[in-house]
Amino acid sequence: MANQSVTVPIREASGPSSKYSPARMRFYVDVKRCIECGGCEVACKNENNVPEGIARIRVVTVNEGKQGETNVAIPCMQCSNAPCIAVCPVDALFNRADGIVHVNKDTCIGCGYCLYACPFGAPQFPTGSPFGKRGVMDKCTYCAAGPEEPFSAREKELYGSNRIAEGKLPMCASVCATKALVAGDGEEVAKVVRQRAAARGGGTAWGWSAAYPAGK
Amino acid sequence: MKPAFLKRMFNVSLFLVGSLGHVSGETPPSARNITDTPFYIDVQKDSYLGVVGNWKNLGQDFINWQSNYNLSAYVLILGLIIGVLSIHYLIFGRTQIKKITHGGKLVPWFSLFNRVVHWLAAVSMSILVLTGLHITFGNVFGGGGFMRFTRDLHVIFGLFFILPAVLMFIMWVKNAIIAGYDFKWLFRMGGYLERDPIHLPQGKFNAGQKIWFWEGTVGGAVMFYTGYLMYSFEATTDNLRISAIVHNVLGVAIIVFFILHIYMVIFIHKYSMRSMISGKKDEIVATELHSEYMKKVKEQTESVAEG
Repeated sequence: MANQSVTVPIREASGPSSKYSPARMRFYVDVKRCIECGGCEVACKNENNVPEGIARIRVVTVNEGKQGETNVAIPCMQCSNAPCIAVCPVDALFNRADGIVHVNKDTCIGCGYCLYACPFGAPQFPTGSPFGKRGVMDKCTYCAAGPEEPFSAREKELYGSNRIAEGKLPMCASVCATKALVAGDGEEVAKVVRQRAAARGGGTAWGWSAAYPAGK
Repeated sequence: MKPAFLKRMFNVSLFLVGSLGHVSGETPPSARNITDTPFYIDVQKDSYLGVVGNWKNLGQDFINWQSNYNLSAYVLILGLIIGVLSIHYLIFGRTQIKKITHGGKLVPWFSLFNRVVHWLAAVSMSILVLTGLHITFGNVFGGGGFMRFTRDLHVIFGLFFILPAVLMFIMWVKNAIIAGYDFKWLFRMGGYLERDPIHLPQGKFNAGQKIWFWEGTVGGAVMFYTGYLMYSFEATTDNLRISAIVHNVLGVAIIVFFILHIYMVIFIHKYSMRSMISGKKDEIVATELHSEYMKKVKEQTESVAEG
């Protein structure tokens, strides 16, 4: 059954208060860099052998063809204090020590409450069974598979590949051509966000507002 | 110069105390708080709002209801109804049943069609209540394959329940229309909270049964519709959230009357079971309890005899 004694990524201490602490794994999607190539979607499906009809990550375009067009790739954002965990009637969802949200597919009954609660539409339900009956919930695993023996055949079949246990980052972030999708420890990701914001000069020297000033 | 130096010394001492405290109380990495890193959803809130719409309003309500109040409401209301009925049985259980005289001749009460429809509804409703409670208290029973099976049962019998519910609505709706004397019955709780049972006027069904009828048929239709939405996802996310809340709240209301209905026939009106099995009722009981209905029947037979 559930084996949760998986080693989680550890980050070195940045302050005097702690020697080591678990990394807090996060995604960051840079909406100014994403070019809607769909590489993350394809890479995810290929890496995790995702069933047909399920999109663990998808690229959404807002204001398509208008000024201010924005693309954003939406995986499961691995919330702290996650709404899906709060509403699950069978407690199938949980936060790992490094913040990754796992679903236990042996416990899940496929009721769909997590979908009603999720701000990102991350929970996916395989269809195609008779009478449109839903299977159990499937979602982005941050390429950390699920609560199963790491690298076992059952883990691979139920959840997909476990790149985190191999010391690698999620496949979608690894293949992102423009590095719009950044994954990793929260502190490292925050550094990237700060660097990029500084390089853009607070949003006025780069992007739509600079290229197409208002009124022109 | 001097105050700055003191301040620095103070900071150094704080740092030393802090690090000493840490060395002495080494906590394992997994036990530490991991929620203090910034939320990236805040960094790009506007783009996400464009994608997911105004998630916050109803999403927050649904999460609040489901995680804080739903289970507590079920435990509280079910505990309350079972507690109240147990106390009622201890106080009134024996006295109320003895006062009703029997031994008259039997009059036809429920036709075969009535009884078949009633028992079809009873079986499917019982399964719906049991499987629904099983899913509601899923964290106690632990989910898994068996609960997936009961969830399927819930869907199948939810579909099946349409048949007896529609037939029941057609055959009993004329008897279940609320009349003036029903308010009197409700005001005195049908006389069930009095030591000497007085037989308040009632039709073929008393006011409690009428409420149960409307809850089971019209409420059942609402339950079916919200359940269908939640099964098929054929609605916006906001409507799905409303459906889930309505399904749960109406569910506990139906379970309360379900328990009341069974309690009445098992512990108070034991003889009533006979009328739902054989279809015949004791004439004395009928005239004492269902006085308004018997009056109407008598008028009808007289008018038929005259005509």
